[in-house]
Amino acid sequence: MVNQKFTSSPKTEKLQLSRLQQGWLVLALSVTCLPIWFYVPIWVAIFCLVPISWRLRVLWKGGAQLSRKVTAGLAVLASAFVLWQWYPPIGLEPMSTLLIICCALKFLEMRVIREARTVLYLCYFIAAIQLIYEQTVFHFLLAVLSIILTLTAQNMAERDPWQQYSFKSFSLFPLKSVGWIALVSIPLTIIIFLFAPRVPSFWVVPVSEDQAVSGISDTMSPGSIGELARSSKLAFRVGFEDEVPPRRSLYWRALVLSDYDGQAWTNRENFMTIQDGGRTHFPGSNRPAPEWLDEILYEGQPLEDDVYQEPTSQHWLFALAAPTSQENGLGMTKGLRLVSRQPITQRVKYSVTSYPDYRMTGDVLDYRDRYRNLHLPDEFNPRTRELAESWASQGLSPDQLVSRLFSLFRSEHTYTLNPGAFGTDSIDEFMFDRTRGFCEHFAQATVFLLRAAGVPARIVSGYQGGELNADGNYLMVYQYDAHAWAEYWVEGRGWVHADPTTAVSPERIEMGAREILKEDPDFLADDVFSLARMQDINWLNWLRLRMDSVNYLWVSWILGYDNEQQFDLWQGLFGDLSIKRLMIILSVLAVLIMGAIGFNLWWISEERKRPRTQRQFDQFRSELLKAGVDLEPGFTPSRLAEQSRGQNPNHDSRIDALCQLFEQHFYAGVDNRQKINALLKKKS
Amino acid sequence: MPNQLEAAVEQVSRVLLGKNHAVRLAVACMVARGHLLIEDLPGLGKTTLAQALGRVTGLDYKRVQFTSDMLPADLTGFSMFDKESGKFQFQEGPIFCQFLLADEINRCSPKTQSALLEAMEERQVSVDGESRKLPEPFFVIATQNPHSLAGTFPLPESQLDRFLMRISLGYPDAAAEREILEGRNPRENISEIEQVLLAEHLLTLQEAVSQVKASDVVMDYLQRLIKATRESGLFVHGISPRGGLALMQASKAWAMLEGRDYLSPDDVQAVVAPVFSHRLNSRTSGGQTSVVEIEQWVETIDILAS
Repeated sequence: MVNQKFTSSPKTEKLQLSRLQQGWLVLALSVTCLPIWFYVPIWVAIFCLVPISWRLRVLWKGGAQLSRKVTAGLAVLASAFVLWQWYPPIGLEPMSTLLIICCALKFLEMRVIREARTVLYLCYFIAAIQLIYEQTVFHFLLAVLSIILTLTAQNMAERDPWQQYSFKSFSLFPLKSVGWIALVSIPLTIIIFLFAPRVPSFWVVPVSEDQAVSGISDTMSPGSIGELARSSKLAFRVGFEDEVPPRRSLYWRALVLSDYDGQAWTNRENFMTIQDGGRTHFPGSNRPAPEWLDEILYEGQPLEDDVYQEPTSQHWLFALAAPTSQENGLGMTKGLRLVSRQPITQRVKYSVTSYPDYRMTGDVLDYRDRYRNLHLPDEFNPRTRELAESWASQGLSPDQLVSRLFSLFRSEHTYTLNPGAFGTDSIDEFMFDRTRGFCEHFAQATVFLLRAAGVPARIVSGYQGGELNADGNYLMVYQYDAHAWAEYWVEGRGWVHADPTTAVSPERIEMGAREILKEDPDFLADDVFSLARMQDINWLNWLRLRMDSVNYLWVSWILGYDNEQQFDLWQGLFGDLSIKRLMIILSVLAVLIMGAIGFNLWWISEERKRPRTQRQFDQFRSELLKAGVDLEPGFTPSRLAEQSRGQNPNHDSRIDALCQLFEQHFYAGVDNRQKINALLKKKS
Repeated sequence: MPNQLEAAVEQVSRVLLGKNHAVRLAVACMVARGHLLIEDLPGLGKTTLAQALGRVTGLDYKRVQFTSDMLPADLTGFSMFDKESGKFQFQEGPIFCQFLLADEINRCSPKTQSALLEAMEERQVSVDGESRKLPEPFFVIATQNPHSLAGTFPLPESQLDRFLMRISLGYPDAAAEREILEGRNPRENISEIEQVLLAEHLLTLQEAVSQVKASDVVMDYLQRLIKATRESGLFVHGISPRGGLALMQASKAWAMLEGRDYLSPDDVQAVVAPVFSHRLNSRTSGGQTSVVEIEQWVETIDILAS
């Protein structure tokens, strides 16, 4: 008599997930985990693919569930793998890996809705985690897609478990309703984004060092800048207030390297408070300005720019000479650079005002600076030293020395990305034997020769040039734009800029590294499929520039939206902000938002659409309930009267009459609203 | 008109002691043009109720005791050769009546059952390729004993659906029991029952049922009830549209019995259990839902809002 299908245990039957619901879950999980696979080891991806494909197989062909023993075994195995990969397992990668594995294994053993919920909540979490790794607009859109798909899967999973959803009943309807929910939430998101206080993060995600350190380092040896030409990763973007200066003047200073041990050039100053031979000036700190600040005359037309720097885990920033900045935590060094008190572990934005026409009084180079910038270890590069001494003995001024050296470079040397490895006397080898080199070879040869001739000199490293994106009037500076050049000291003029690369390969400076190097096999060797390689294909290049300008807008307006911009916005909207005024505005805003939410809740409520008498009847029922009458929603007016008669000590004819009136109103079509109103008022 | 119905109920209640509600349901069922299934143990008054009803309404009453060797023709009738006229003459079976008591319907073979049930639904029978209309009004009370199932053919769900209501009489209460024990045999009293209705009256009353007004509010309530059977998860299957129609028809009949010209949720609640209980299977027990189960469930459905 009874359908046998339904006589199985009702408890498990009740919560079983249908195939369509599982299908949505598979989709949500796959899309959510997709981006994070780029940041975790390959075995994690394999570990996740197995459960998903198993689930797909069960979906398509049917089949038994895995036993709990198998999943437990897999969990142990995965934990062992994590320990093997990272010990101790602290940091972002092991934790996100564990999370993904948990999610995948839960998915594998999932059969009921309760377990599906765990998977879904983990999906939301994973969608957010991938934004810790990358915050581009594309990653953001991917996260939004993941969340919408997860919401849809949840929408499906929480539907009537009695209904057997099959693939035949597939429709995009749940996606539509979730999309609608997402759409409705956008205004609130915008308001919160614009007006909620920007709280700095309470913790810093530890990023493993090998991954985060990228870009130029504080040690330069022959070949180290050439290494960077293999990468097309973005180093930073710069937005300009006005016109972008010509490429030849774009020397982005990052480091000043004065210490030379015969092989490598370094900066031995370990503390950010003392850099380039002087105390770093942090504007806003209450220490007096260092003396060297008086030796630099910030003159001429200032250049305003905003730098959006990718994380480097280092302290140095990128700026044109002579930079000034009012940002908190940023310091100006004696070497005309900017440094940050905290290492740059996240993308940062800072505003810089540079004075390209600055002057230095250049009166005295104190003895420690002089020693440091003249020091050469004795044992290396005898031939270059000999040449320098012979030039010096001719009584040439520093400028004449430089121009003579540059004409030598121009006539006898070639500029190449890959001159090969050098021995211990690398400068001699470069100067006289190979006569081929990259910018760091020329720079170090220049500095060495000048020092040997008795002129204080130092290496400056950083980036040169950058690609203009006309869409947003900003520059994109890539790792392959890394550059090194020289500076030498002239009495009365201070440190003078000298870039030997302009002598040997002016195209590098005028047209940029990419134009010169694109034929070189080592150029961008690490990014084989980089779009930067394909700039000659017009439409691809167009696409690349558009994509980057979207990202730039994203970085400057969304990610770069900080307390300062918020404050500006507020000021623009409400004028000057006193505390009192701020409080009033905040309270008004809070009331408005709450009011809007409340109004919306009321507007969409079923309650609003019900006739008044029905609401009155509900009130009447709750009145009886308060009087101690046991009620069920299904009680009819006459039953209410009966129940009240039995249980309500204050029962009177009014209640009987009301019950009768309500019944007549609702069912007999009698218009007795006035009587009902009158009787209801009588009580209150 | 309702006074006549009241009188009919009163007359029947005279012989079926303490069973006023069951009697009212039976009368409502009859007025709603439905058929009634009584499920009970022997000796609880099923036959008495049927006989009394037949007498009080003045309908042409017949009783058929169903047995396992019964054939459809025993019910519907057959053609016999008449020597005198030299023609086949149709001999009407017992089903050609206005009020049929089909006793122990689950004792006969499915073939015979379906002949009866078809007749109930179509209000006509087909014999020798010729369909013959049954008299109007046509009302069937079928009884079955739910407990001794050996050698029976339980009615399938699709057949149960043909009955507007299913009721059981149950044991009488103490006072009624006493009266019975004191020697007043109800069957002997049947002859004392007065006929208060005519067949034509009944037809008019049946017509009048559809005149009962149903406001939007109560229609919403009916729909909510029907929807809830499909979505609440308490039942294996929801109520079919025919089941929903049955509920409305029965409720209206009850409203008329109550002397009202409009439908109120009270009427719906009075008949919902007998109308739904044989149409729904409980998910927890697996079997048909009990009256108590349905009455408790109905209390959870708000009469005004979802």
